[in-house]
Amino acid sequence: MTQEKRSTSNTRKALLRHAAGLLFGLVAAGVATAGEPLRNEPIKPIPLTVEVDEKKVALGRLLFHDPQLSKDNTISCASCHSLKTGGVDRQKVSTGIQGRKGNINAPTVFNSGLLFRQFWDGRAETLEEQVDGPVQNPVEMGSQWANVLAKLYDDPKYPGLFKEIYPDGIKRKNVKNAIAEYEHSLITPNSRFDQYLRGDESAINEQERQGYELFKSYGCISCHQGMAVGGNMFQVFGAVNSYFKQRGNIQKSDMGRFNLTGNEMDRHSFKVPSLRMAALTPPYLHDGNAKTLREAVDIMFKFQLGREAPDEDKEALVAFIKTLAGEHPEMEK
Amino acid sequence: MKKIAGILLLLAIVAFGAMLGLNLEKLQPQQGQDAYAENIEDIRNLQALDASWSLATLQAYTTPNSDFDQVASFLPRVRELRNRLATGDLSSDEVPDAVKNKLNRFLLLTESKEESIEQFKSNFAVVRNSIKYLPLASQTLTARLRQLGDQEQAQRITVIFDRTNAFLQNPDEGTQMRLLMGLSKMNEELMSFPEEIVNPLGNFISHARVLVERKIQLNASINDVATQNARKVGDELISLYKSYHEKAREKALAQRLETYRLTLVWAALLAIAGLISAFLLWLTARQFDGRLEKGVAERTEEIEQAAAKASGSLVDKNLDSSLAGMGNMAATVAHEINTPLGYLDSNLQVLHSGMEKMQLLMSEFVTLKKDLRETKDSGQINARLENFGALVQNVKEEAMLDELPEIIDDMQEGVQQIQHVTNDLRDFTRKDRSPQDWFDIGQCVTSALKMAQKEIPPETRITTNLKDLPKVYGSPAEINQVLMNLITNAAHAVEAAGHDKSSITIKAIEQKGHILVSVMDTGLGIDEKTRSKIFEPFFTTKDVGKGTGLGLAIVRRIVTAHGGKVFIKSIVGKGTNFIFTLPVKRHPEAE
Ligand code: HEC
Ligand code: HEC
Repeated sequence: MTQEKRSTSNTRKALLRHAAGLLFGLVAAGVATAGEPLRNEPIKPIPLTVEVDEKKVALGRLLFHDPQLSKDNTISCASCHSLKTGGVDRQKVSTGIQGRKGNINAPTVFNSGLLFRQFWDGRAETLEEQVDGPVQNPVEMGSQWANVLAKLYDDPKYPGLFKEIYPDGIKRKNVKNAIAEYEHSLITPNSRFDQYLRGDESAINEQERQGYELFKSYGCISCHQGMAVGGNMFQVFGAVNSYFKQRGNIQKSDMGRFNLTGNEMDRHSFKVPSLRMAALTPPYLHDGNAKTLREAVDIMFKFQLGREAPDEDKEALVAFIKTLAGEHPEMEK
Repeated sequence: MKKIAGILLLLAIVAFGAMLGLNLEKLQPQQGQDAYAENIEDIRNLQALDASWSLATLQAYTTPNSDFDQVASFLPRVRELRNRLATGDLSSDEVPDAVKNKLNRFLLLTESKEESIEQFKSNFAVVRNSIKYLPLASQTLTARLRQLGDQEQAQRITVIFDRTNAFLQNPDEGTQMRLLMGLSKMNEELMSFPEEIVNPLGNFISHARVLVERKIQLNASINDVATQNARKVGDELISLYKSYHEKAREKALAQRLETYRLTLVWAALLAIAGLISAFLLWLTARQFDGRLEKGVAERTEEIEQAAAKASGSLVDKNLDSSLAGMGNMAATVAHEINTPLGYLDSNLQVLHSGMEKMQLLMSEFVTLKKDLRETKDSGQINARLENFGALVQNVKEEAMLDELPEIIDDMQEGVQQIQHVTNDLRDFTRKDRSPQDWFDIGQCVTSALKMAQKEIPPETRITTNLKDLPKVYGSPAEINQVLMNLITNAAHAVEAAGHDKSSITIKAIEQKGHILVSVMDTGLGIDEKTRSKIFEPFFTTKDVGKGTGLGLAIVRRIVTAHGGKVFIKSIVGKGTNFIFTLPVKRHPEAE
């Protein structure tokens, strides 16, 4: 019951901090620039700050970079989600312990706290829950919690750090909680596009602004929307024309949410990815099939929008997508 | 013998401890109450969230330029409540199936709401794009075909487009069928169109098909969102859960009472065992020297002395001179102390006679032991043993061993009651005084008003006039008490009068080296006869249990101790004014 209580107040805190961040963002924008912030836009700026428990974040950062979470001490979360490279490994599919290949492209961990669910098919409902996935996945870290906890116990730096934050010390749920808190801190505010939304018209150039208008008028915005420019709904990949018929070689990982629900309507249905960090995270799509943003945009037009568009529009769209990535101290410029 | 008694005693203690330990958990008040309230709150919150979630979704549906962040933000909260209810004690084995089934239905409703909202979001995005795209596509396609001189094909596209419009306006089976048939025919003949428009036309057909499929799903999902409502089932769940909880509580209570009863019985049995063994030990130690009786007498005397001391203190301690010979007080104290003394006395008698029988038994035992050692005749031994057995039986019955624990409990309670009375009296007659200092009367009035606050009827007007007063030397705590007693009395007086324009006025002025403090009320007033007795301790006009009758006596004692005086003015039917004086610049140590 106490654990649940805490999680209640955590969500409340999260909501509050959301609201506060939003407010702060608007105020800050008002101060920073002369122009009026754009309201009523279907994309919202990321709050400039996020309220997190700094001690948990510090512990979470250690754990996130610690290969002891994997069976043979070779792979950390950061191996596949390097913060220096946009929170991804820039591989078509990831490589886990003993060189084992995964079957799906690794999304970024940046802004994952803004997503309504985790994983391509949304099978984890929270960041905490998500951590179980990689740790136990045989082609990722291939470990078991009992082993992970035993290693952390033996490591002189952890018992003290845990005790300081969690009275019950090194526990599976506490490891997950610390990592999740760290991930909540991984927001990328103050992108050029956010500056534009906050009223600084010079923050983006004409082509980029044009790209945003096209993003709305072509209807990308129907799916990629909100603060994360994605991550708030599921969509069938192949909404208008069938992507998989064309690509062939259909795998289990291509079934998307259908794997969870068995619902026909969920066949090939995926969480719409956030485009916030897309500039930095090639290759694209769940199968890593698009090597460049331009290829991804082509595919979107063909299968998600079911329409054609001139090259210059697509280029403008790519230019716009590149304005979405903000800043984070751990990221290489 | 000593050993046996010792072991017995030890056993009794151990058994008593074990028994308490075993039952202690059951004796704790149940914690179910909190969990119950939390569950009800969770259900209510989930009902409320469910409703506002629908609202937010419909709002997103009807607001242009909206995004689904707001709709998605409900998810963690809903999920958390749902998890808590699904895994909490509401799903435990004890809960009857009827409640659990209702809970499941309730949770399923919110789950299917979630599902409907997911479907809504996906369908809405796609339908929105297609509705936007189709007119544009049909326009470009027909324009191009007309340019190429193919009026007929252009016309076919217009017809299809019109059918999509008809379907959108009225998505029934008829319009749906007509549109789908037109589409599949056109798709079959796709290659008969000019090559440059094959691709765009294919897209057009895809969109129209997607529109048919998704629009129907969208309507269904939005309909679900608008109509699926967890309120009713939630209410049913709450009322089922409530009645189950009531019943469970009653049952738990009954169980607890039973445990109490068993514990008491056990405690009684063990106490008897303990007592007997303690008794044996004691007797052995004293070797039947006959001091038992004296011991009891001593105890009685002690208690009597305590009582005498208590009543004696009334007379000799620093009471007001008026106190001596106060019939009221004597009667009250006598009664308060007499009742417990009464049962102390009678219980002692019971104990006394019990002890006598025990003593008899003991001496019989000693002779028996001696005889057994000396006699060799087994017939005689048997006779003696049998005799002894009968005696034991007799003592067991006559000494009222079964009632001993209760008797001792009673006596303890009696002593406590006497203690209570003597404590009260001691407080009243305190010689030691609280710390003395220079203090401000105004502050005393303020804090006394605060403390008496809850006694004052809400509509009573309070006026204070306490300007420019010099400091007084004395005990602020005691003066606080004086003021509080007076204000409380005033409050009770106005309450009893029940006018609608009641007031209490507190004034203080300096006059001839004294401060005069007056507490005036618009209550019933006090007649002359009562006025004359009003400062007597234990005099009270209030109902039994409402006033100790010491309030004004305390006022008088304190004021007198400060070198002041108390006056009373009263007009029956109009109100009462209590005035007390305190000397200014009077420093007791300087006396
Ligand atoms: C072997 C490479 C690998 C490792 C190690 C790894 N991940 Fe991942 N991560 C992935 C892949 C691949 C996915 C996508 C899986 C899916 O959606 O089915 C993913 C998905 C995620 C997501 C979901 C993001 C989203 O947009 O849905 C988060 C968050 C995440 N990982 C965090 C972590 C954390 C925390 C760790 C360490 C405990 C970790 N990852 C370790 C490869 C890895
Ligand atoms: C019908 C919904 C929908 C529309 C409309 C849509 N997308 Fe997507 N988009 C998706 C989904 C779903 C994916 C993930 C597909 C997959 O790999 O499973 C995606 C993936 C992407 C990616 C790759 C992201 C990554 O990190 O892998 C980019 C870039 C992208 N979309 C851009 C666009 C652009 C630009 C438009 C408008 C021209 C657009 N999308 C329109 C649903 C949509």
